[in-house]
Amino acid sequence: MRIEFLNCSARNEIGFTALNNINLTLREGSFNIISGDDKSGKSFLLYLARGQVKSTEGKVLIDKDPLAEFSRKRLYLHQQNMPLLTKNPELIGRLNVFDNVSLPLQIRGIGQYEIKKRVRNALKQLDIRHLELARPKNLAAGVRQRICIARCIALRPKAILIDDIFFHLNSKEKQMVNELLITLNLSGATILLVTDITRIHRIEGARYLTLWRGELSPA
Amino acid sequence: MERGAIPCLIRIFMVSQFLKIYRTQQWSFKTSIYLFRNRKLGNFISIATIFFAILIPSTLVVVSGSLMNIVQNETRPYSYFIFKPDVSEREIERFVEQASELWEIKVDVLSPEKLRNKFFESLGIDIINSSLNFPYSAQVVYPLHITMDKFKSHHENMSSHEIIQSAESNHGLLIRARLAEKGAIGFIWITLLIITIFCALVSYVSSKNVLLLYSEEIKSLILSGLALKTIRLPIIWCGAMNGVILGTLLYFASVLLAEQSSILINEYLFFLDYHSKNWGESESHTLVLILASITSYTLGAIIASRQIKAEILIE
Repeated sequence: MRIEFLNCSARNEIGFTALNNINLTLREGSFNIISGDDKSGKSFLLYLARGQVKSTEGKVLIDKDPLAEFSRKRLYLHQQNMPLLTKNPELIGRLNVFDNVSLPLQIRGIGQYEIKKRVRNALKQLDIRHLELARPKNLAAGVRQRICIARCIALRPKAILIDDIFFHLNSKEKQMVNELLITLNLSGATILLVTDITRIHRIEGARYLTLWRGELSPA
Repeated sequence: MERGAIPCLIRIFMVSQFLKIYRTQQWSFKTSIYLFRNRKLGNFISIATIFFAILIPSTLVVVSGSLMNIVQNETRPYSYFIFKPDVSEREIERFVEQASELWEIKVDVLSPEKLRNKFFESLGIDIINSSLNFPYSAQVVYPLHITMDKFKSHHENMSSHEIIQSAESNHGLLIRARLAEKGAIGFIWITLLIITIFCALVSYVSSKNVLLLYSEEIKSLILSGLALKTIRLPIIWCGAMNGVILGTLLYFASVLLAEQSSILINEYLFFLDYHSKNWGESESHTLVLILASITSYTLGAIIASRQIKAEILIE
């Protein structure tokens, strides 16, 4: 999936600028890392790419089509193809790990056999296959984050948006997730990772950018 | 292709579509049951609603009780005429002919002897020693469907006849009774309307309460890229389930009370008629009552579910 931000700016009602004239092209199958400090507009850029917020100026193109002109149905489909991984792992407490990972697939109407295959494969890749029947509330934050990543992988998305997911992960888990992201990227998924400037880490082949007070510059 | 192959393919297609809908909706059914079981405040408010809803039949029993006497005993419009003492039988016959030629009117002429017997019978006095002389009289009974204007004009027309000494009718009483009946029916429907609005309001409040329970999931579901209408479904199912349960409870509560005094209730409000055991009709009426409850509860839940919005603010 190709994502383009053309002269994108966003301001709130009192005039605070979240993004200022952003021009950025994420090529299909590229790995992009944007770092910045607190309130620099990193997360906002991700929401903009998903179509969850609108820019006050400029436009976002998805595979050369303007996102603002998407029908509601196409927008939901676009959001399903572009899952967002957030810093705080958002899981459903009453469902077990397997059900949490399989829920988006179930709602899409995918067959049971295919769901089982995809979910178990994703759980295995993140080394949490043995926790299939556990409830997320009883698990550590790092494990919960890995469940979110498994849910994302099982969807086989065209693009992945990542918002500082390494916060809860230990060094071993970080290594595992990095390798997984590289594998996903190599299989064709476009990746946009935003992270705090203090937690930036090297990933081979990735493109690095910095966001400072809503303005983008090469790292 | 063989003749039977196309219907077979259509059937397979329909089954596969049904299975697909079932698979996609399975989650919303399960979630709605979970929400229904866990909404403590909502259930408490719903129980309060049942008690409030029982007020309908209770009110109806009170209203109908006082109306029954008037409506049951004074339903038929009638006039009573007393002829002058010197009137001949020929003149009375002509009067009867004239009175009967309009609509389905029944005229009973009472001879002085008959009237005297009736009068003393009603008083319980021995008539042998009575020297009272009674005139000829006639009772005119009008059909039930006659309008009050026609009834009045006919009565006035006949009263002005030269052989009539005095005339009376129950026109005034009937006007009052019919007004009271209309008022009672209006009151009943207004009460029902208020209850329906109240049910929708209860459903709205309890659904809003459920949203708190559901908020953690909503966040996760929005991030998974689910459409808002899909996310709203469990709330709506939950409201509909509440409507089914409350509608059924309300119905049985009403039946228990309506069993005591029920002609008006059965006639106007579709409640089960225990006395006539007319089960066939009452089944459809039950359905109407339960459907009204489901509709008002679902409506409340739909309005509440519209509050789910994916909003991200620029900090």
